[in-house]
Formats: sequence, C-alpha cells, structure tokens
Amino acid sequence: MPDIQGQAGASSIIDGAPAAASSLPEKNGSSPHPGSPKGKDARVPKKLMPKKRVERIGGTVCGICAGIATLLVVTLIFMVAEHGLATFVVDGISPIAFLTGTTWNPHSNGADGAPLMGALPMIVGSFGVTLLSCLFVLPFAVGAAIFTVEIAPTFGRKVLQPVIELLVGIPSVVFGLLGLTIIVPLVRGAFGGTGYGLLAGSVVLAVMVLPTVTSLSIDAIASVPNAYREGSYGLGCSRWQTIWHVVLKSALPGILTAVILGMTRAFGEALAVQMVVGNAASIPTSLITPAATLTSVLTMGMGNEAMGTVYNDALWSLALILLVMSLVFILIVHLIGRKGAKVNG
Amino acid sequence: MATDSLSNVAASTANISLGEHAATRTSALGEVAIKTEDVGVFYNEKSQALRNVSLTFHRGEVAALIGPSGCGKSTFLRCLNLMNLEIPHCRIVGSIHYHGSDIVNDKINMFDLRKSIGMVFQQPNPFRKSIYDNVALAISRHGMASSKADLDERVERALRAAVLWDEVKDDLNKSAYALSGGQQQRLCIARTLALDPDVLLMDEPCSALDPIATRAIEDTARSIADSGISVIIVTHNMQQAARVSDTTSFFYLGEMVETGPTERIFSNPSDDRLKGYISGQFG
Repeated sequence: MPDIQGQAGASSIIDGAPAAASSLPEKNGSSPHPGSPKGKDARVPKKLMPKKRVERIGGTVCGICAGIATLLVVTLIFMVAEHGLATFVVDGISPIAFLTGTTWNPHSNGADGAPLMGALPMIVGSFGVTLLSCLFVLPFAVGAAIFTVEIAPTFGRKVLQPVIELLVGIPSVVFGLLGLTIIVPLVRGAFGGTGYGLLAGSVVLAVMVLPTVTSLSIDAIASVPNAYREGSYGLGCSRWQTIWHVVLKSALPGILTAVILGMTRAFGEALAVQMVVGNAASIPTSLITPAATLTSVLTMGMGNEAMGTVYNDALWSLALILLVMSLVFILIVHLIGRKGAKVNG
Repeated sequence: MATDSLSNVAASTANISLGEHAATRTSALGEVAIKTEDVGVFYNEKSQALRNVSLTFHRGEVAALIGPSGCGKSTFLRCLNLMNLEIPHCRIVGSIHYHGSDIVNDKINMFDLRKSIGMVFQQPNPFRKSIYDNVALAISRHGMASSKADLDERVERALRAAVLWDEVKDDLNKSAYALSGGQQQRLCIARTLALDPDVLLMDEPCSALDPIATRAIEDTARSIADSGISVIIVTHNMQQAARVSDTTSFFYLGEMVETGPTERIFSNPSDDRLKGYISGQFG
C-alpha cells in the first residue's frame, strides 16, 4: 500500500485523478519531509576577522613567499658563479684557455704547467646536440601543431596532443635506455662506427623535447586570431596558403619561443645524452664519432672529485657555462616576447 | 545529367577572368551583379538561421542590409561568397546567381569566387605583415602579377582605390598595425580591391571605428561603387544606411522583410516591423 501511495504522489502533477484519490494519505506522508534544514547552518556568519588585518596577513604571506623564491634564484646563481669563477680567480687558469682549449684532462699538466682544461669539446658537443635536436624536432613539432589546430582539431586536441604530452612524463633514463638499445645500433648499422655520438644524442633529445616544442607551438598557432584566417579565406586564399602565409607568419614568435625553450631543455639534459653520446672529451670530427657534452662530463665527474680541488672547480665552471647559456636562452625568449608585443601594438 | 550541368557551372565560374571584369566595368553600371533566390542557411539540422531571401544587387550601387542584431543580415552576406561554408555543419539552400551560374553547389571553386567577391570584416583584420605585403599577398597567391613592377603598380592602384595611398605611400614597409583603426580597415578594403572584384561585401565595416574614420569608409564605399562595383554593406546603423546606400533591405528574425530604394524605405516603409525598427521601437 505505501508503494502505491508514493507512485500516486509522484504522478499527481501529470494526472489529476490518482492525485485526488490519494490526496489524504499524501498529506500525511509529506509531514516527515519538512523544508527547513535542521541543526547548525554553516552559512550563518561567525565573527569575521577585520578586513584590514586579513589584507595585511595575505600581503605579508605572499610577499614572504615571493621573497624566498627570489632569494633562492639569486643565491643559486651566486653559488654556481662563485665556484665556477674560482677556477680562474683562485686556481689561476686562463678563461681564454679554458674556453678555447681542446684537451680536457684536468689531472695532468700541459707544457705550461697548468692543468689541461680545455672545455671547447664539451661546448661544441652541447651546442651540437642542442641545435641538431631542434633541427630534427622542428618539422615534426610544427607539423603536429598545424595538424592539431588547423586540420583536425577534435582528433588533435583529444588524441594527438595528450599522447605527445605523455612523453613529458617518461623519465630521461628511460629515453637513454631506449636510445642505447635502438638508436645507437641503428646509427651503427647505417653509418658505421660505434654508433655513439652527436647523432644518437640529438635523436634522443629530439624525442625528449618534442612534447615541449609541440605543445607550445600548438598554443602559438591557436592564439593566432581567427580574423586573420577569415581575412585570408575572404581573399580567396586556399587553406594551405592561409596556414603558410598568414597563420605561421603570425605564430612565428611563439614558435621561436617554443623552439628556444626546447633548446633550453635539450641543452641542460644530462643523463639520456650521456648514455648515448660516447663520452669522449675531444672535438667530434663527425656526427657519429663519440663526443661529450657539458652535462655528460659534469655527471660523470662530479662524484669523483673532492670539493675544492682544481678538477672540482673546473666542473663548477662547466656548470656556470650551462647556467649562463640557459639564462641567455631565457633572455632571447623575453626579447622575442617583447618584440611580439610591440607588433601587436 | 544533373552532375554534368553542375560541373559546367563550376567550370564557367572558374573561368571568370579579371580582364573580363575590368573591360565590362564601365559599361556595367546597373547590370545585375548577383541575384539570390530563396536563400536559406542552416547552422545545424534543427535551426534555420535564414529563410527565403530573394534579392538582386546591381553594379555601381551600394546596397545596405539593415536589421536588429541576430536578424540574419550577416549570415546572408556570408552566403554570397560562401564564407559560411567555413563553419562546420553549415548548409546553404536556395540559389545564388552570379555570372550566369548558381554558386550554391559543391563543385564551385570557392577560391576564384572569393577573388571576385571581396569581403571586408567587422574588425579590421590586416595580416601581421607590412602594409605593402598585406595588399601584395593575395595578388601574388593568385598569380596575378606578371612582374615586380606590375605588383607594385597593382598595390598602388588598390591603395589609391581605397583612398589610402596618400597616407601610406612613404611607409609601405611599416607594419600594418602601425596604422589607425580606420586606416587598417581601408587597408583591408585595398587588399580586397587589389583582386579586381566586381562585388564587395562589407560586414559592419565601421562598427569598430570612430565617426571620422566611419565617414572615410563610407566615402570609400561610395567611390568604389561609382567605379562599377556592387557594394553590399551590412550595418546596424540606420543613419549609415541612409547616408551611403542606394537600396536598403530590412532583415528581421531570419527573414528579409522589405527591400527597396533607400529613400522610400526610410520615408515610406510599408511593413509594420520596419516602421517599428525605423522609429526606434526596438533595435
């Protein structure tokens, strides 16, 4: 019986007859469901802190956080600079010899009595893998970005972009391992030699920076106002002409930023590169001869040397070069951004 | 049979050459430029944004399309150069006669069509390029210039036609974004005129501009029409329609309610909705 009552009540809005029949029992049934909430209402305001004080506390907390973050960056740069410059100031190594010397063997002394600390092979190696990897990644990243934004937005945004971004989460040691087992033998088979070298290193790096460059390129292309595309279509330009001459041209600063941020990542990547680059601290004669990068020499050498030795200081100098280069990359990004803003008016 | 005639139509539209336009221009005053019959637009299967619009536009005339927001006047304008087809799932029905062929079919060459039916948008949208390149882009993409000198000449002619040349001739290599809003809009007109169109569609071209720039655009529209082009201008501004147009068509709720000479439309409207709109009862 109670079941029927409930049903009748529910259908009463639609059909008048059953509602009339069950009007009495329904009234009784509705009494256990009163509209007013029982107990304490959380929305009733308690006594509030004075607004002025809340403002002050909020401002102070945020200020302290910002201060600590800034302090961290400044002290970090200061420390790297202090140790890195000790090579030249304390140990008396000529900066020019350091930057242009081609032999890296800090344990033995050269003809002039100074340790053999030529960082040029590593500098060449680092720039080599960075530029090459960006050269490899650029067509894929921009192509994928065009596809995602202009050609198949639904598929691109829902499938392609998430899949590419999965690559971000893969640890670099896994990339190194994959490079070691796939790329190195492939390079060896195709070009001879050991397979270790700049080519293998840059291919591994290219895969690693692909998600960064692709994602940022997608953002850059997607931020081109639709009015530009319409304007171009309105002039009878085809889709490809529009993409090539209007969209890419407008997205260029953003794509450059993407590439440079990718370069920053590639420049600083240590482990994966070290596993496939061959680690021979001499200027590479070709893309397939073993080489070394600033990062690979750092990771291999840092654990072996005591703090304060000349070798250790030299490693800090390499770290300083890395840091300075990263700062230069960031600076370039800012300059591009500022120029873009100027064009935007 | 049906497919045959369709592909013929496409071929004949594709063959419209610019020389032909230029040659017929002076004698073409008053000639029908574009004629629509029962044009309707569906943005999806359920909602019809526009229904049964039949209008005729003549060369050498400025035609204004007026009506309250959302009445379908822009939607109609965007049918005339098939811009609506860039919107996914958008469908155009009815027929649009242009140069003796119906452009509402799948085989139409949209790129050639849009070359001869130019369009200027609500917001000035010059490309992020120099002033010169903004005008030169479409000319070179359509392979219209035979040489650098020819390209220079076409760019100059277009800028002159849009009454912009005297203001920009010394900084053609400056970014288009260095121009003021009104100049940008005239640059957009210039880059359209550079393709020697015979119809120019203007979608509320002055809504982002101040009164002085608006005046300049209106004068430009007039002089373009005087050169034998059919100018179709969408506006929500009745004074603008009265100032600039020869004929006016009133749209309301996806329908074309009344059309006629501008003077008659404003002095002696017959439809009650148009009377209400003109007297400012809604807008």
